[in-house]
Amino acid sequence: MMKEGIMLKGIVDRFEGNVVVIEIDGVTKDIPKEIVDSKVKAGDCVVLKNGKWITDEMETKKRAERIKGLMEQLWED
Amino acid sequence: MKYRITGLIWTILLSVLIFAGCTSVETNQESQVHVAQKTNQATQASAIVETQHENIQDNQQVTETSQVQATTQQNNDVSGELQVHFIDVGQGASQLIIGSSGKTILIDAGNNNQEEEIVAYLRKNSIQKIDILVGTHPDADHIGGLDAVIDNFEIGKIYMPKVQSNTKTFEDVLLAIQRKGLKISTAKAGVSLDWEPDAKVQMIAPVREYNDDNDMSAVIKLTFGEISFLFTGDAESKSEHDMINSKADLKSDVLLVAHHGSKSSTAEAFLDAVQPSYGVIQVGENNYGHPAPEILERLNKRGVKVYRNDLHGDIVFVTDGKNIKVSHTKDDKEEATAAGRTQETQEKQGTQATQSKETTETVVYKNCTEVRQAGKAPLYRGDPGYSRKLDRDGDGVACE
Repeated sequence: MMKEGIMLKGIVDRFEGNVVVIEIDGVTKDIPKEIVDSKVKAGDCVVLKNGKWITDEMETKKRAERIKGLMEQLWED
Repeated sequence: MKYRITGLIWTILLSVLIFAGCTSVETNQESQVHVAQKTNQATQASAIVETQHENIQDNQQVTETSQVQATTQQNNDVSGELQVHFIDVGQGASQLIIGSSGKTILIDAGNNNQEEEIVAYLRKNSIQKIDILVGTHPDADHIGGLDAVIDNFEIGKIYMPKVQSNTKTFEDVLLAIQRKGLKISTAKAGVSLDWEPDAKVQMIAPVREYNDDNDMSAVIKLTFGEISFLFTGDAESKSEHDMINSKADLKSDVLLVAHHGSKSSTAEAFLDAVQPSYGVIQVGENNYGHPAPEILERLNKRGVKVYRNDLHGDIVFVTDGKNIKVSHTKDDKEEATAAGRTQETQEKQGTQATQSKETTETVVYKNCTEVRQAGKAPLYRGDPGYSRKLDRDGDGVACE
């Protein structure tokens, strides 16, 4: 059994037809849509659990806020 | 009047000669070269001058002028040449534009794993500064290499649509911008980019906000003299529809076929508005079905000459504001060579030489009688043997 700490994690970059492009450790991988939960959206932090990629709500919220803050500092308009 | 026309022919031929000569020095790795004479669409009284097929041979290069249309109106104020490089970044996108005085625009920079190649490509072209850097939208296959570009080159202005991605790739780009103390301006329709004085660079999308990242793509139209380019990012049919309705002038000679030739882009109505002569598909090996066969078919039916990074390598357009010259680093082995666009395979080292020669065949028809005798009439643009000389009304169908 995998423990939480070593669970495969990623961030969804985009959808391309039947492929979900997930960034794992900074490298994008093509994942078949069948093994990605239907609720998963682009920008979600996801984990591979029981053979299916599912959204980690807490992690997604945390990360989205951090990037949003960075964007607010950098956009001039 | 006769002298005037003769003078015009000489001027044009001379400029084609100079044009071909200059670039053969600049781009030494190109294998195929194609020069097309821009058809002037001006409605002013124009004198149509037809030249004989003039082959100007320069070692490995053949250029051909099949039809020249010269207007009595004075040409535009462009000087020198503009280059547009569609850099082969595999499955991803990156376009480098070099203006007549050497100013630069870089639109996208491929995937993260391509960043070393992008940096090397820019260095090879003696680029020191990117005057305008555009991230069309935050997908990794477009912005992946931007951080390396920002770290390695002087950067002027940065434009990106205000769209969030949560990937590390996107974060790395933002952090590189922050490290350099730069700011980002929002890419959206109506923004005019301040660049070379003899070129017009206009953003024509995103027209509004979309939920889909691809539709948020910055779309840029570049005009240099009579020649224009449309860079479309991954804009899909919703954005295309809004661009058409925005009444922006979309007509362009060279179209970057959006979203790597995906079937969700390049709608018939959009092609009606753009009317490209050339289409470039930035595509590499992928699991997404890019480019879609129906899009290739759509372009082919309209006689659009298609160049693809997977088949042609790096693709470079050079224009003096009137002529377009295309060169690329790889040969498309399956491509039948047409006469209207002449090309010659460069001598290759080693055993490939004979093989690649065999795959290049040239069909030349002197006139429509020959075409009909060969049972090939009508010829569509892109067909072997099609030439502008045979297509006097310039509608893309010869000997109809």
